[in-house]
Amino acid sequence: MGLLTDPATGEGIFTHSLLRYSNKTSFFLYVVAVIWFALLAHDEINMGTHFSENALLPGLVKGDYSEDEIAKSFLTELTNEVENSNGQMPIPYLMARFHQLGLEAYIHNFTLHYPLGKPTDMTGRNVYAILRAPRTASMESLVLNIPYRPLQSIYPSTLPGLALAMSMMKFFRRQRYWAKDIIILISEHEQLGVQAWLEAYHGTQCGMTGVLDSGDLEARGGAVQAAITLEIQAPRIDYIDVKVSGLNGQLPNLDLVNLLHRLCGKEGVRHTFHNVEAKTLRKPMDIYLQRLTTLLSMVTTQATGVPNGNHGLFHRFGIEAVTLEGVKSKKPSGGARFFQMGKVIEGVFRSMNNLLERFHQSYFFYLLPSSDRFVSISYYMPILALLTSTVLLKAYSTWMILHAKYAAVMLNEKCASEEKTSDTKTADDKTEDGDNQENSTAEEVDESLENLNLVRVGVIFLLTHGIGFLLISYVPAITQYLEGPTDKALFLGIASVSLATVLFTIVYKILFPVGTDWSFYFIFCRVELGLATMCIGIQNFSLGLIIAAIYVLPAHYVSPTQNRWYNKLLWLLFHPLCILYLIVLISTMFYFPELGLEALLSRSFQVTRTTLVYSAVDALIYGSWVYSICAGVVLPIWLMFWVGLVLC
Amino acid sequence: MMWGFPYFVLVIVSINFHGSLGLKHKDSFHEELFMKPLVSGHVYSYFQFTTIWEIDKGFKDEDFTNSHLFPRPLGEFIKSYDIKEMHISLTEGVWRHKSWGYPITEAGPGAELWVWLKNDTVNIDQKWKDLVNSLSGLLCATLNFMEQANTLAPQMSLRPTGAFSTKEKLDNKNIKYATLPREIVCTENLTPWIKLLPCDNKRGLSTLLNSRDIHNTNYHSLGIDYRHICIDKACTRLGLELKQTVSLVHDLIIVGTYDFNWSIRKLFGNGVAASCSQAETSSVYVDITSNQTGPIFSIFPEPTKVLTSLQGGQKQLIAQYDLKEITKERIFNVYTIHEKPRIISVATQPILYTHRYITGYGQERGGIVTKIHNKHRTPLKIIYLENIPWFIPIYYHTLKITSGDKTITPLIKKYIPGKSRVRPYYLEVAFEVPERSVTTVRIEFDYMFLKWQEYPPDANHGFYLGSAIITALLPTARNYTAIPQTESLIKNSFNVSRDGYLVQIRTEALIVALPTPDFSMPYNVICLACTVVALAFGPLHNIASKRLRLTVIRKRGLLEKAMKGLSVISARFAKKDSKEEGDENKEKVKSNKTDGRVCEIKETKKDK
Repeated sequence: MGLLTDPATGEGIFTHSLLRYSNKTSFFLYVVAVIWFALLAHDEINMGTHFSENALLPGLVKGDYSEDEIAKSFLTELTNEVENSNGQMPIPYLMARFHQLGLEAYIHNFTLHYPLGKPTDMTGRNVYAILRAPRTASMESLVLNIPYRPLQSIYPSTLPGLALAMSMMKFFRRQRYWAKDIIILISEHEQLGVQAWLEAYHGTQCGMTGVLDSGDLEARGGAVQAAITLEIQAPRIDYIDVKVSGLNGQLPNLDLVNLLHRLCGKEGVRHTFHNVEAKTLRKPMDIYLQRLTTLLSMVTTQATGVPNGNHGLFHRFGIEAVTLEGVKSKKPSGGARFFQMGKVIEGVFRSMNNLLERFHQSYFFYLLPSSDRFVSISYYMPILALLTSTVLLKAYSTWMILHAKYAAVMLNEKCASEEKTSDTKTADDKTEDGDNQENSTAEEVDESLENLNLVRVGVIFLLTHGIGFLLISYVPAITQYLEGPTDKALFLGIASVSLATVLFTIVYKILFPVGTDWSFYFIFCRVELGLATMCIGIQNFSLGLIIAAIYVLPAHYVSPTQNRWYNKLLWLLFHPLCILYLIVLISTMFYFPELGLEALLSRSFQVTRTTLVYSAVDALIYGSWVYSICAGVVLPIWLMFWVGLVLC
Repeated sequence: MMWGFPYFVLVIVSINFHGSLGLKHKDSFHEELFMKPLVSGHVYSYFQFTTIWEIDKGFKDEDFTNSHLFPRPLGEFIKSYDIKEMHISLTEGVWRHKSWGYPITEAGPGAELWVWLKNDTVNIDQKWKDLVNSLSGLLCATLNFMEQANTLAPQMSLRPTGAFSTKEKLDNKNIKYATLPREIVCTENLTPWIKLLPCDNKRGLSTLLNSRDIHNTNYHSLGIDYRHICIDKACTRLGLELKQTVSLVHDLIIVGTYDFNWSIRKLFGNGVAASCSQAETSSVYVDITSNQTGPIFSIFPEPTKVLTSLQGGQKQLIAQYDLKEITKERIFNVYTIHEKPRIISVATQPILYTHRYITGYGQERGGIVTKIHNKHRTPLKIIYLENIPWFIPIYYHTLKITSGDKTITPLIKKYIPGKSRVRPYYLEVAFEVPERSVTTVRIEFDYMFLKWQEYPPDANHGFYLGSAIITALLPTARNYTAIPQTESLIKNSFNVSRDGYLVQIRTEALIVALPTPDFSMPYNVICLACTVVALAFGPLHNIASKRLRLTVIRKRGLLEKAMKGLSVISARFAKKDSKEEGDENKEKVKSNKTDGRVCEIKETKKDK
């Protein structure tokens, strides 16, 4: 509070040292942030997972599920039906089976009007059945989702999961303790089906209007409390991988994640997070490295903002959801069978049935270095703060310098005028000198005021962000205007816009040289970068972290005074498209080390283009943010820096 | 003694000459059970215990001090609150019209109460308050939560069902209607309810009402309906009617019957050993129509009579059992045997059914959507009554009634906006539902924060939004079982065709997740707030009590600094002599005043 009243603020030792060691401080903060992040994986920093919600009572009752033989026969029937229906979803069979089990079964139709390129429509059908809970008036429900994958799908089959789920429903139907309706949802077209179903269930639209026609549902089961997506690949699985990352990096409540791990453990099913099992290694270093890699893979998955399972679409609607992927056992014996998996699912549903309140305890913001350890938001958020503070401090120190300059000029003027008034009385012949002095101080004032020119900053800000806005909102138009495959068209569109802006700035510089002090402009750019990354980080920590990690250091070292041609060239490398290409290149190298250099480059280029299309389509259908953030925030900020760099 | 004597006589007479006294009292008691196997694999059982008490000409209007079969506590209650007509239901679960058809009495989830008070009642609001409080004691339910803030006076939907003098004008201020969708119904409600019966649960059909079994059903609803009726067609004789009802829906899959063969013993745990001796009628009716249309089953024992009922073009077959006769010989039990393994078929859908849900996500704006399905070939006129609690503020202008692409203009719209903590939102709309269509009624609302003490326990469970009532006159009696309004007993409900069949459908209740604060937070907030206040107080006090003045800092030379240091040290030594110190201070002030103003520029090292 002393800051409020002390007029000497900004002139203390702290500010002085900050100004003197500005670069060193920033670099130091960056290094601290990196070390801090690395430490998160250490067991001394992260915490063991625990249950906050006592009502879950996991594994308190003995499971009664014993329908595994039925599940096997369902699987045989399903396999036959799917083969007979050319790999399509055997809807009549499913409807008949559900009716026979005593469930209300319905079909949900939806249509996707593909927003990019030539207008094409794609239709899909979901099947869902509702088990009406005997204890309540259908006010709450739980969802068991199984994505249906046709035979020709590139992903592993989920039919065993479907068979298991059907046997679960047969078992559940006979129980009298249900207080929440149970909805089994067999969705088509991977995440599209679930998105359409959720939109129809809630009578809303999340993406662009007119893209996904989600139709209507005949029956509902009240407020959905939780959802489980099952992707069981085989009747005998090696382990269950619990997937959490959702749309825009949203995560399910940690209690639900813990519940699944706990029950898997209870039933003796191996369970992993990002395919890593929490087993105790002998060396502490090995444990640490394993946690660090798991943590990194979670951060990268979360940063993409793309859900790694159908569960990710539920989060937006306040529904806690996870995906259970049962990975096929490669070994001839061992592993978990339908019986154990069924017990796990029974336990999960009974626990969720116990819940009186919706999931509200425990954590919604966390990072997982392992399936049984977590990092809470209070431990990881300072990293982002440290990273962004590098640019913010730089902005502050520049401001202080400007301030000092300005104050100096103002004081000079003031003194001069005072001297003048005192002098006029004594000596008349000195007036000419005084006039001269006054004129010169007035010029200085003008100059320093011009440095604080908000109009210039405002115009450039509006222009660059306008370009970002156009890139977000005219994606369908771009692809429709430029003929050819959508990925090429979109890439061409974005690349040409970027190139045009870059070249335009240079041409402008040549034609109309504007050479004054741009420090104030850079303050503005840095503050925007810092605040934007912080805001993004609050919504999706991983995305904010990655953007910050990439941009803060270059943005810090870019300066209006010392910029040579190589500085500009280096800054060009940080164009979002280049960054995307580099990221893709590195991951391609990581996943396909056997590729040659040329193949690698061309393949990465291809993947970059498709990534662009996917992220744009995700924004239009699901309301995903990543494309909008990159095109509407990161690109304009980059452009602002570029304009500053070239013009000054 | 004067009062005691007749009572004494009454007791003796009622023991010895029961029959003659019944005549004198002109009241009768009937116990009936109607059972219907539903296509969806459920069994619907409806118990109705009816007391009819003819009002004598000499009988002082509703003098309940001398009651015979009529439960006296209820009588006194009716008397003291000037009740003309009363309908209470305590329900667990929701009636699923789409697969079960229409029940005999409709009831929304939770507790529902609507009362018509007598015309000359004064101080109505106070009466209502006392009434719900007494009733909550009588039925062990939390009916006392029905306050002014959730009580409505519907103007169209809930008209009196009983006899009403044509001379009397219906005054809308006399009706009170409230629901408590969160009310949980359990044994504690059943026990006092049973106590109101003449035979308690010692004899008769009420012996089937074991709490262990009836609370394991998919739907159970206790009801008490009191009204005035006409004893004869011309309505020259008036009477009081009290119906105590229990509606149950058993799920045969959960009960665990083999091939859907059910029996009374299986459903209720025991048979009926004896009929209630006070009862004039003691009958069980089993609807065996589905034997003809659906899966074939045999019913045992042989019914006393098989009734054929023709109603609105629908033929019904009813097996009737007279318990008075049967229980003389053996314990009564009905059971069915299916010839072939039964498969659950899709139910024939009733003419009119509804579906209701909340739209939107997030905690800012939402909508309530009610879909009304009309499967009939003609349009239907319906009245839609919405009772929305004050904490879900709706926007009247967003009310949209559409059918497909067509907008439907309401015939009548009644709306009284709610007021926070004072009254609920009342909305009643009459409109025509087109033939073979789905009509959607949607209205939007805002999510709002409550005061922190207004959150119920388990606040994150969500807030309940009671069911809407949809009233319609159906042209045919498909899936229709209700007793006509002019009749009292189930036995009189067969073979009565009319122009229209009244239904009052209750929709599903809803849960709305209002924004809920984290209730573990207050502790943290208190800690934080205290710290902030403590930290802020000092400087704020300083700012408020001291004057700030800008001074120009004089740059001191080395010598001056040394002098200053010396003077400080010397001042410390001279501390004992306070006078001297004072002088020095004066001097200081003086020297400040005489200081010339010297401008000073602080050079900041540029970061380059």
